[in-house]
Amino acid sequence: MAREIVVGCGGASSRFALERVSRDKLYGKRRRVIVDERGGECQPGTLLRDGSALLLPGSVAQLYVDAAFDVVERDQLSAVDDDGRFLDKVDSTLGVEQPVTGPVPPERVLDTITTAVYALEPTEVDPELAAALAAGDIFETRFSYRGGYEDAPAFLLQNEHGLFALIGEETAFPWLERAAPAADEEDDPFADDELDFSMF
Amino acid sequence: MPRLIRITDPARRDTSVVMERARRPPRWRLAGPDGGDVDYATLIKATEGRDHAALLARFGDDDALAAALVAGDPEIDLELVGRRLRPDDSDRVWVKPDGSVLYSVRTLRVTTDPSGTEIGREDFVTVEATVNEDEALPWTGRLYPKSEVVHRFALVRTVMLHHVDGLTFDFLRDIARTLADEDKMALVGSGPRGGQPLVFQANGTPYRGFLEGRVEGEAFRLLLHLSNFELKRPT
Repeated sequence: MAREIVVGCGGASSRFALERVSRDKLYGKRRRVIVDERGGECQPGTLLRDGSALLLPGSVAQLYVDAAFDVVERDQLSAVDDDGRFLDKVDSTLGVEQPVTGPVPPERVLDTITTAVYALEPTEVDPELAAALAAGDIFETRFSYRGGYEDAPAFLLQNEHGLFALIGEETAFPWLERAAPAADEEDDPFADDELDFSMF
Repeated sequence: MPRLIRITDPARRDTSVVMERARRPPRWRLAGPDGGDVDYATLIKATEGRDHAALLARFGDDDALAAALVAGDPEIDLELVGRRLRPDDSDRVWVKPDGSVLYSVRTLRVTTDPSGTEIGREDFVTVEATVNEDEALPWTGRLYPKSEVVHRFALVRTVMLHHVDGLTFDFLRDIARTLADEDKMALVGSGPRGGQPLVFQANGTPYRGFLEGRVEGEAFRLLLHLSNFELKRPT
């Protein structure tokens, strides 16, 4: 059975099949390719500074180790909060009815950054919810694709292209006051901006 | 270094202010089964000249290679495999198809359509940043209802514009108040009329920007929401 976003409100349940939407799927992609003097495509490698090895892609493994440098397998990992308390795992929300709230104002979406977009295809939808979405209302629920240690806000909305779920991450910017501390001298929000040559 | 942006207000005055990212402190950290710290480590697992093709060339045929694998560990460089790789231990290089290091680089820009089919291959030309502290981004005057922006664009990044002194506090708060009073967002772009994308560093991601203002008493938030794709279905 296909994985679905399932939301419920007032005893009525709605189910939506989902498909990830990305910039590359919409517009295509531009990428930078390095070639040698004969036009052969080159691949990135890692050269150890002592000259002992040239490592090609696939030559390294990334894993978690403890203080004694013993490997900790992924299924052995846990999560703790600032007080050292173990956190419970959150199951995937797909296929599991989540409460939906709303309509929420657009500012609620603007309080988050969108980390993923899914195009939705309703397989069973509460007529009241469908009508509200078609009228431009936005609804909020919770979402976790695979499960983990926290879920995320998800916003359901509809435009002329169809229904979408926007998965968000809270931003929580502070209010600025005249006496607010000066901007952080070390902060560069685009220092990690990936190189991107995709069409605009 | 803080990243500066030079913006223009509705009165066509411009100034430089600082962009700040959202700071949401992590609520948790990964730990071992006993709650102890864990570290994400990169280890060498294979080295050149030890793969199947190289070993086959070295031992001559499958039978000889199989015998060598039974007799010893020719596929493992015991000096290197398992060694931890740290960023300051190594340099990134480009490797030619024949396995040698590339010294003379030619860079191409390869374009693929949404299906992944290559549709263009040409010499790469650097795309310069369009956002900096010297060139003011114009006030486009194009205001959109918040609901329209949220329904049309995926807003994938947000930065807050932060004042650097009392004058820029008033400047930014006035813009925020104007937008809050209108209950709209202002389109922000580069170029003389703001029609070009925002590119924050050379060859960086191109974005459309939407400025949102909120005011609470004397305090304000002026947020630049950035989008690099529309809410559409792939065809």
